[in-house]
Amino acid sequence: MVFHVFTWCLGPVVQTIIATVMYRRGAHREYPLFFGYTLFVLVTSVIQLIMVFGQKKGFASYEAYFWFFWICEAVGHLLVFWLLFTVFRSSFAPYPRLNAISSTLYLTTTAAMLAFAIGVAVMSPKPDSHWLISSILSLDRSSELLRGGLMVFLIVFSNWLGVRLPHFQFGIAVGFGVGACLDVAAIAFRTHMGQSANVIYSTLRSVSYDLTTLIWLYYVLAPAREPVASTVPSHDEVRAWNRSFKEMLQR
Amino acid sequence: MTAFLVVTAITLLAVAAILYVIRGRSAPVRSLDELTARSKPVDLEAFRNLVSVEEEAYLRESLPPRQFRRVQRKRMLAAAEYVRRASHNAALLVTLGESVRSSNDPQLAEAATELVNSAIQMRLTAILVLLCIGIRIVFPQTKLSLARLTDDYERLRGYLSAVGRLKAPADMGRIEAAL
Repeated sequence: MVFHVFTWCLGPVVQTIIATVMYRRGAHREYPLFFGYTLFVLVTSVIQLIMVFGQKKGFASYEAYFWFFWICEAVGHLLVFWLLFTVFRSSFAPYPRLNAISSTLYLTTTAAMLAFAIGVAVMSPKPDSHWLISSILSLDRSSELLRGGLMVFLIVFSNWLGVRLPHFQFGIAVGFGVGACLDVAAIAFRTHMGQSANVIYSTLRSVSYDLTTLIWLYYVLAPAREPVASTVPSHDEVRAWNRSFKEMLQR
Repeated sequence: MTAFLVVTAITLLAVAAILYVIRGRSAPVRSLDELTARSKPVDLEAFRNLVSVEEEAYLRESLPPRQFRRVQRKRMLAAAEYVRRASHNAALLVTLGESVRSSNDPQLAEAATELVNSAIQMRLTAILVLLCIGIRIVFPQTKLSLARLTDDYERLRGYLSAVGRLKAPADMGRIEAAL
């Protein structure tokens, strides 16, 4: 129980730190969408927590919580895909050749991942008797597959090209990529095991969210390592040093 | 069960790929000397010969069809190796260009930007050319032009020369020989 509460609380706490650090460093101007997403998750988490307590105290209904939760989920998913598209576009923006094809790459990857998600949905069993739970799990898995696929493609493709993504942008991509992969594994586990795995599933999802926020926190706090030009002296430089050394000896 | 295993295996692979990239990000090419040590030489003349339309037409006329297909497959495999080498060198040049782009010398920074863009173009062309070569290995009779790669590689060498002339003019011969 304590571990469950800890994993539930850790994510919002870390996101509060991320939002504070970003605001203090002025990074919210550079990454407004990510900052907005962080605030959105924070505010909705707090409201949801109040509504959960409200149900016990009698000032909030389960129906209100249900609708609020699912509307937030839908808006959150839309925000994430908008954010991923922005990360995709801005990662390739400094390179004219890649900038020209970035939208095509995004759409192609999305289409490929959608086809894969549909394939997985068709192959997966439907252990829940309630069609709504099965459909939500299937939709959630498809969304996570899409998110993970887009970010893994961005990271691997840019690395294959030799292109260096900006430090924090890389961190956002890694966070979403790793988080989505763990979420997909958790959903696959839940779908395979059925309702008996509900507790493990919910803990795994919380851990995945915590890990995502911790990755972002690392990239917000750690200084960017800029490429250092010419750490090894060139032949020209060595020859110039030799000349100076000889001149010094002749004096 | 199958879906569960497939999805779990793919997610593990994806996480492994991300970790691999995070580890590899710390090793870019930072100097022209490092470039000559890590690059793989590409003999453009030999590549041109392997993908020459005239050469292919001559072989097609002089050899029996079965032997022609065998020879053509071997030639395409050799051409693929050159493309992989050229693509490898282009990736090194992207990282070298990235490290020089932040230079205070505007001329050098501009030359480095051109180098990076040209190297990215080369990497993208290499994918298409490898695809064409793959088709020609399976279907040796297919006629697909592969000459674009040599143009891109020549252009890339040109941009590298521009960076080299500004950064280490005395080493140009050595750098060009490495590519």
